[in-house]
Amino acid sequence: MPARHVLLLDHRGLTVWARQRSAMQVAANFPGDTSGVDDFGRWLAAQPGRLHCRLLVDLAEEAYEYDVLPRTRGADRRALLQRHLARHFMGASLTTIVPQGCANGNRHQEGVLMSALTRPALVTPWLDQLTAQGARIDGVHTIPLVLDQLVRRLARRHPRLRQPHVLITVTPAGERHSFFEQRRLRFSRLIAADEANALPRTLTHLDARKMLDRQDKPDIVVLGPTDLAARLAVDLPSRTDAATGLQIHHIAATTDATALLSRLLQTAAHSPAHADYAPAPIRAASRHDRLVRRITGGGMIMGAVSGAFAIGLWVTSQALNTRLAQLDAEAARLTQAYQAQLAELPPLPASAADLRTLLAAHTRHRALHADSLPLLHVLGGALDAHPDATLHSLTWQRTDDSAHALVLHADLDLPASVAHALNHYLAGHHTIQLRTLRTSTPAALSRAGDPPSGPHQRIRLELRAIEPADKQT
Amino acid sequence: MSLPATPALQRAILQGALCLAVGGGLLTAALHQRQQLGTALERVRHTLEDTGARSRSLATDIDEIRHDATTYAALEANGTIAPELRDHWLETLHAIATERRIDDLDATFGARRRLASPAAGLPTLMATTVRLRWSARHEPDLLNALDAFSGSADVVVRKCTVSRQTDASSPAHPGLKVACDIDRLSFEPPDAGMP
Repeated sequence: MPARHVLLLDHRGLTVWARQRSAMQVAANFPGDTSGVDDFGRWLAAQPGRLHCRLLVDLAEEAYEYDVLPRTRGADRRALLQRHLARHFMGASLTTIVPQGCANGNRHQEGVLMSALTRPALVTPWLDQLTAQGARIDGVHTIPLVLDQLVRRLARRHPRLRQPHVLITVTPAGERHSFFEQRRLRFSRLIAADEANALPRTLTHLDARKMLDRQDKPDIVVLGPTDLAARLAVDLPSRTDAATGLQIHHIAATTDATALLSRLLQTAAHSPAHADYAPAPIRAASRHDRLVRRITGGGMIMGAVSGAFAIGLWVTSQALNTRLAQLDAEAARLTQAYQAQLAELPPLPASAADLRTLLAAHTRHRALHADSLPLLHVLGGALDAHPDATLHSLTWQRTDDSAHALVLHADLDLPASVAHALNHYLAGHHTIQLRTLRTSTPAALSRAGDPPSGPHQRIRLELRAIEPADKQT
Repeated sequence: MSLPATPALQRAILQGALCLAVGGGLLTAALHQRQQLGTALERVRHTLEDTGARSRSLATDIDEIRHDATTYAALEANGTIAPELRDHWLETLHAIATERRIDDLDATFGARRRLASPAAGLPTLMATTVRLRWSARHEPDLLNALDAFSGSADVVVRKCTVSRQTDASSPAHPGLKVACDIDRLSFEPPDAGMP
């Protein structure tokens, strides 16, 4: 969440800028003397709640050192950086470190920009007031390091900013010269209002620090009002040799100093908390505040997401509830219809399945009835056709394992000459299957007075009732 | 690097935990409700399928069930479902024999046996095998007498043997000796004592 207020501190005093929607508006001004600090304290006390702010410093009392260090990690890195900070800034209290990635294309080396506010007395009274009033301080930053972020963003659209260049900007504190290489800030200084030959002196300064290539002059890029670029273009050739051959370019990102300042303030308000000059207690308090906000916010977000998911589930459950009610009604209707069907049935002594089993057993045993009439009819016809044949005995039966096969055995006494004809007669019927089981010799039954047809014999026939189709097969 | 557990931090942790607990509680309740709804839906679907299947089965079988019920009612009406009255039936057989001028009918009763396992509330199907012996003058007499005996009860003729007597020349003696095994089927009512 961006800070609601940006406090701009320059040599004139402190200006409180408040974020209103997307614009920054001046909320209060305090002169840079003791009374201004006291007024600021009273103003803070009058604010409802804790002031959520960032302090943006635009003072000439600043120093920048660029170092190439071996890449280290953890405690070693912290100790190395502290050593270099102490060496460059003699134990200054308001310092910061800006890592700038691989140096010279070597991934074992890291470029680090170190910076310090060299007159803490200009800043600490304001910080003390903020701390005393319990303000939430997101960080203490400087205009050059905000420019560092802005240039990286602008470089996507302006190729000039991708080359080494001196960026000239103007803020209410005055004109500022910042040197950028590989889109990153290397050096910056605020020009005093009465300083003559500022740009050549800046170039000389850069040259003395061995930041400039002697063959290729850096571009001069003006990010500010158009008249500033025009003035520099007129003045520059007449100054010193150091300025000879310089090209001045203007980036129409802003129309005036106020617009640039507004953009810088917006960038400062929205940028992540890095390059922080705040002393350790304020940084710890800021970290603590961030942690508190993250825990609270995280809990609220997760709670809200869970709640939203629960509401979503509840809403979809309503559709399921409706569906359940429909299905319940459908089930009740079906059950009612089923009960109505059952009510239509005559009263049963037991379940339908048991009753069917019992009646099936009865039917099965009834089927064992040996209805001999068809077989007797056939046999009677044969005897009528052959009067010489005499029936001696008959047996018919139906067994449990041959429910459809009624078997009739007939013992007949008949002349041997008739036997073939009778057999032929019986075999002509499709509903019986005929088998001759036994034939006695004619002599066994021969007796006096045998008819002229010859001696009798006794045969046992088996007649089996079958379906006509079975006989064909 | 550690931060002190300040009251603000403790309050934040408490607030975060509270929000999480509320959200988690809501979510748990919603999930529980959803699960219960799912279970109820599954139960109702099962009921629907079961009732539908039973209803379709009943619609298919209803004619057969009606037929079975009618058959059972007929069996009850004609006295088939009743305790066995052996002596009464024997009298009936002799009456038929007298009517058919059969003077030597002999009936031998076998053991009564169960033909099907009894189901709750239903009578038990039983069978008694009876051997009938008599003499018949002619084949038509034989068949008519057999029909009459068969019609006297729920009877299944299982086996018959007919043999011609050698001294059939005498009119006082019938010409055929008949021996038939018949099963008399009956239903023992469920409340009667089983043999």
